[in-house]
Amino acid sequence: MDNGNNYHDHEEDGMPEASGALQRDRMLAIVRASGNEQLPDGEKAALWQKIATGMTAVPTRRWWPQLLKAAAILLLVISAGIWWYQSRKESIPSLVAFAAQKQPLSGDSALTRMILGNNRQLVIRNNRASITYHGSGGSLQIDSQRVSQQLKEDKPVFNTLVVPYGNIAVLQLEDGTSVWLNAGSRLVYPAVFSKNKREVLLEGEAYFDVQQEAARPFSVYAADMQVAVLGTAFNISAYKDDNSTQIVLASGSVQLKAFRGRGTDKAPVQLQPGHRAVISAQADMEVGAVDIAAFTSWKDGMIDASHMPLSEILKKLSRYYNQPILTDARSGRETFSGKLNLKGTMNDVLDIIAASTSGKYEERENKIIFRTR
Amino acid sequence: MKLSGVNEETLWQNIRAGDQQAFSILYEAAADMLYAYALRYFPDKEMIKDCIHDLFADLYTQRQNLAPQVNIKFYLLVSFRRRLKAAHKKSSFLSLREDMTGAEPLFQLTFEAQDVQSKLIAREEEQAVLQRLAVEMNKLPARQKEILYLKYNCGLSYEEVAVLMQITVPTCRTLAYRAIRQLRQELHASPVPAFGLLLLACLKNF
Repeated sequence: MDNGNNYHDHEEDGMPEASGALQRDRMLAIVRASGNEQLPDGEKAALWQKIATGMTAVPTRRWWPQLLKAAAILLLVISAGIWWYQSRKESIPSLVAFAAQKQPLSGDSALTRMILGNNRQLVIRNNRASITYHGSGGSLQIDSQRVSQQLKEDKPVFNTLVVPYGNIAVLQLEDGTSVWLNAGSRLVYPAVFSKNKREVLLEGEAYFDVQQEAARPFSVYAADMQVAVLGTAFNISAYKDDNSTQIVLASGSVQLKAFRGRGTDKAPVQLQPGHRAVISAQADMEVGAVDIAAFTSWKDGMIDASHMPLSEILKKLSRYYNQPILTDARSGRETFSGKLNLKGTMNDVLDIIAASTSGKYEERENKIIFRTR
Repeated sequence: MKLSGVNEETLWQNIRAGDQQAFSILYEAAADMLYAYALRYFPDKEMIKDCIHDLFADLYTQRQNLAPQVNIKFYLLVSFRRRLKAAHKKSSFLSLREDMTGAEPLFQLTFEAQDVQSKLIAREEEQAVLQRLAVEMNKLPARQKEILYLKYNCGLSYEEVAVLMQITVPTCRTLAYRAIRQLRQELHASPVPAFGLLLLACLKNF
């Protein structure tokens, strides 16, 4: 009765005779009767009026679109030239250039991915992946799986770890430095660091515990900033959709300097442990003492907040659980203090917040809406 | 899309010549089909009307570059679908949620039994059978619904459906076949004995 190869015999419409002529007719009748919405007559006529008006207007301005096109192309060429000249002048590190030319990635965006030097993509199903480099970068361990890659003598091989919303990952680099990557982040780094420096590029948020090596300074490029490090633990938050970059130093010392953009003329700034630097889009920097735990506890699956605005907490949750959360300005300004355990479900966390603030939340069309009662 | 009393070839020639009358006829015939098709992807009426507007506006400005012989309906759907996707991508880009990819809009269609025109329809029990069938059909995955809709509601061929959905013709056939098979299984497990029997009778020669 069940013969899967049979259907080619009835291929004209793919509806196997099997369903019986009557049943088949019923199905087709239902398909034909469904999804036949019509534009209301008035709107249909109005839309045609609009289209027809556009048609009569075209011939009268036939000459200038050409001129406009030419001008646009000229402008494009000139600005591309200027851009090229500028970027040469600023001497962007090869790492940054490499990261910039990488296209947004294809494939299933919900999963963590490791991209090796030859563009080989490894998809990691674990949403809290752990990756360790062994033996001078040639081989790495992803959770329990071992992977090796070919390295080149003359040129650095860059690897990229992409951690989408809803995931986090822990990465141990070839030099022993540990990096906790938060949700919605990307780290680009050479599989093996060069002899005289260690450089990585971050988009999003990460906590770094850097292995001390005086002979090879460690730098993180994030947004327009270069964070130079000597054995240190610190957190960087540089999401493209946030309008500031934040660096929080847990221990040791780091030096901050803009390597491009408006801040390049400014002197480097040394950050003290327990301090945070906030760099605005206008390259203004504000430094002040903060509670370190509030900025680094995410790596242990917690939010440790003290008087943190709800808007900020909800943004973190939204990234961590990969779930859009909307709130109005008034509720967003409320603050919350205490520890939130992110190992539970998002609803657990939201329940706690709702119970201890005057808020409530509801789910509507896949979005969570949080507002004051 | 009905082009009654019009020769499709002549109409297309006139479109290419920029004849407004021809555009008006084509719009009259196609607007509802395009509108219904767009609703399968997103409910934003204004955005849909913009897409239809742009489709015809571009058809007019690009008229000299149009292929001399096309299947008009298929041509419109292909270029319209591209436009819908772009519009959807743009709007989801502008909305609050920043996706890492531009997620594809999902095909959405609820099969309804009550509008079915049939000689059988007068009988009450037939209406009940159709209702049940529609419920089962609504459980199909989006892509399979899409194939059924394009093939049997829009009247495209398998080859055209495959091009439109950017899949191969065999995949397209297999998906359609699978839809039918799933329906059979679902209905087979249906608790209503009379209906089960009816199906068994229908499926005997499968």
